[in-house]
Amino acid sequence: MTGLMSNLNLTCRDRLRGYLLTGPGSQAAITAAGLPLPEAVLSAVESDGALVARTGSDEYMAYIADPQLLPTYDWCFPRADRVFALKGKRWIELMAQVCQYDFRQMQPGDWLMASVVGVNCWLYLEANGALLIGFDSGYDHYMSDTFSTLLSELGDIESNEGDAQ
Amino acid sequence: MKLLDCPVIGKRPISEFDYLGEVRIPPVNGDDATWADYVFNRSGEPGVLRERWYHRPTGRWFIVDRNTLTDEVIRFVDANEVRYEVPA
Repeated sequence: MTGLMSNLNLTCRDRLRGYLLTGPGSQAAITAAGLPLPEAVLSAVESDGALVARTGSDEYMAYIADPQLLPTYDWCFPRADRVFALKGKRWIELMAQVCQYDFRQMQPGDWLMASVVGVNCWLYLEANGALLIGFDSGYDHYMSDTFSTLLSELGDIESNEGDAQ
Repeated sequence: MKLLDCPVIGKRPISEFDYLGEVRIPPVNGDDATWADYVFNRSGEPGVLRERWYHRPTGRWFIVDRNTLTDEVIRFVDANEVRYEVPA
């Protein structure tokens, strides 16, 4: 569902489940599960609906929609993240109101960890132009409310299309 | 908006960081006067200071040499450079 004059829309990626893998066996566990493996710290790669980011020398965050891809590893912990997907030609304009990072320099495939309306978030720009915004689900109401207001101000309405992309 | 030009993650707003102050290595084998100087005295003179900064969104600690007069970050310091042995 989008507005008639829509040039932005916000969806929730409810099916994406987040996991933190840490420890010396994390890299092998990701590879064994068939998940993509990012090389550089603070970078991410996406493949077949799975997004994996490297957040430390032996620490990874994995977001997967297919539970069968879940790594079998003792040090794989579920995260309670909420993931928004923001898409539309005015997304940079919207993000400029909530985050101090200069999104004009962000390219598809880039991974960023920054403060958005005061909430620590991770952000990933998909190849299809959608900006994923992940944050602790405890901030869901606040974030939903804030983004809903901003979308209204920019002439759009918020929508929840499940995982439709 | 004040920015911290972190050599690792680039220019980020200062509001994303917590400042943990100067990196100081305790004088493990020092006498009382040396310890008193370490505990009670600080140099406020502008210049290059080795500081700890914590970036909340990434959860990472950064140690940098920063010129407090010009606010220029001179270099990123590996944590191994400031390691010291704790006496048993």
